[in-house]
Amino acid sequence: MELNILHLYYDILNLYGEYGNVVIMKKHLEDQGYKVNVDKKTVNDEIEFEKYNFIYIGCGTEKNLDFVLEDMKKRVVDFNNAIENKVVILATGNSFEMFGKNIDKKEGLCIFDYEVERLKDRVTSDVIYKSKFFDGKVVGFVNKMTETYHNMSPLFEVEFGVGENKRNDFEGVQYVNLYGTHISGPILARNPNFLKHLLIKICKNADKKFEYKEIEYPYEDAGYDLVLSELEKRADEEKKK
Amino acid sequence: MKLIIILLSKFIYWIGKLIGKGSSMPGKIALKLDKNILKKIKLPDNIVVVTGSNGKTSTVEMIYNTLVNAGFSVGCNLEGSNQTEGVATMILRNSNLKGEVRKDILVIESDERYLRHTLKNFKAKYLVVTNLYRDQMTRNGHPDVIYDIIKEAIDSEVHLILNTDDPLSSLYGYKRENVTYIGMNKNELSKKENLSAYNDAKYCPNCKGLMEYEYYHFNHVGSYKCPNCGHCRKKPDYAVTSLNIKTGEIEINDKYKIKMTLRSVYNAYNLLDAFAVARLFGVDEEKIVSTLTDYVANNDRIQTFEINGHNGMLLTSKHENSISYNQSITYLVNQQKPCTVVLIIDAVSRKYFTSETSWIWDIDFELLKDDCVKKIILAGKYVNDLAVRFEYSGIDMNKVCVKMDLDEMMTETKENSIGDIYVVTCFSDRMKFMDRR
Repeated sequence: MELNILHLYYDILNLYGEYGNVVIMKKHLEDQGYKVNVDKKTVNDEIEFEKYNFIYIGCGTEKNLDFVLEDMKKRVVDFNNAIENKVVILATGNSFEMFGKNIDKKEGLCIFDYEVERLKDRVTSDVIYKSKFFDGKVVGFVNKMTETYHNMSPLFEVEFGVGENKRNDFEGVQYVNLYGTHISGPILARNPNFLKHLLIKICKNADKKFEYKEIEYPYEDAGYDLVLSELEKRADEEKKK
Repeated sequence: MKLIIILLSKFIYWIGKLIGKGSSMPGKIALKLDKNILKKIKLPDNIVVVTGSNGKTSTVEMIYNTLVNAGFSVGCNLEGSNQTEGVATMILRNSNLKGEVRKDILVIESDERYLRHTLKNFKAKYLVVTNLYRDQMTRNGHPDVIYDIIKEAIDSEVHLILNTDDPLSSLYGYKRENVTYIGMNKNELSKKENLSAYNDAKYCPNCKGLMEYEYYHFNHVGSYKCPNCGHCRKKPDYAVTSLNIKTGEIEINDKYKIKMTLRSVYNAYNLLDAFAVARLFGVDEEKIVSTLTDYVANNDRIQTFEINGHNGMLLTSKHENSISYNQSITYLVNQQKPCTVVLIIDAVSRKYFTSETSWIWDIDFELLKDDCVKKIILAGKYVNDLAVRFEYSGIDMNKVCVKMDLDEMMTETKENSIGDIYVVTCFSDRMKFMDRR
């Protein structure tokens, strides 16, 4: 069986090594026994959305995000369909901001009703999040200049570091199989739990008989364990202060 | 009060020298006592400021030496920090008790983020922007952020020296007259395709039109033109017109031959900036050539050593700066000698842990697939992240040895290296290798 990945805006929303997420997902899906194709698409390209089992969008500079948003708007129907068809979509960094009502005064895709406000200064932070959708914590780095406000189902709860805004301890959004988080960069290289969760969703959508094969990824697991323990140590130190 | 601050800062500088402590303290205290102190010092009109992502220190050092050899008296913050405090330290140290800096020229390295603060105190005559790359993004955000911050410090009068091959920083010269451009013409290392992990100017930084490239030197650096707004590589005033990477010989403007000790295209850009600035001060070309030929940088970023009969070279690179790593990797591959490469990531940034690994994915480790690379040793606390990156690079993992423990890394290097040894790591980690030899 073949699975298709769409790496959308691969050449412009690629600020923090995000292609890593795609190559890792591809490899892990292959290890589960599937043939995997990756299509890289960008602004103005023709895209057959129905084809894809997984859509990934990474992070960009604010100028690039504004530019991409105009292209995204031409694809609102496609995105709505993909979401309702339960396609697994992962949007990391500021890219998930585009799905909301607005980014400052600029209108977003309005697929969701969240509001995004750009700040004067950047917000950067190591983070530990946990999610009600899967076991284990998520570690990562947030590098953004916005705050997000919404009443949607959050993807994460903040354990350490910054969340979506100063008022609550949530981060990201989750709707059907769309996952959005401000964690930037190759988040799937460092988070085996999150990767496994998404992978199972992708496989089950495509293949009713799918059963997860347990495979060891020693470097990925060890990298995660180390960073989580380092960050937890620091979180404890900061609590004591 | 001015006199007291000058005296005090000289005294603190002197104490610092004695005990071997940092050089930004005198300036820091002086600015605390009077935040306008630098405005009260009479400075020479000739002030050159150098900023940008990579190559600042090397460039400043070359400019300094070229000008000194031409007979100018020059003040420079070579030994100091490049933030406002470090600049203040240098100025106060060079000031006499009347509050005058009696130098022909000041050459100042400035941190990109502090440039706008530093230049509130005095006017620069020349501003060199070396380039704008992805650098320390945990701190800087991204190159656009730095572009805007530097722009705040650029007034209409300052004469700019820009790298015409870099579409990001050359944009400061868009529709501007008082600019000197440096650049490198097409040469044996230029590529038709961008083979790097990213190209930050695929879309024009000015208007987001799809940029057209004639060739690339690396990443977004090359010959480009935006068909939409016209932003393009302008003809350089000072160009490397030919380059032989094997001999390290370059020719500037088809005429001036310089032999580089550090044979890399990156170094050629630094050298061009020095050439351009010296020419702006009227230094005779042959005089510049004689200073820059076989020029050996004083900043110990490159060190040679020997281990168990293997020749070794330390190529200091900057963590969180993929182009800096690419520079080291390109250099060692260009030597085309059988070699072992040691990569160490042990401490990344002081403020953050390495939850941010994007820069590891941005480095073109794929260049190490070259046949001359016989063995790769990955080491340090964050070795797993490197190993994951390598697993996805297509490099034969049988060549790759993963050692978190630095002593084990050293044993492996001593006992099982093949050919020359290149150690590629950051300032923060390099002594962990050098001290274990």
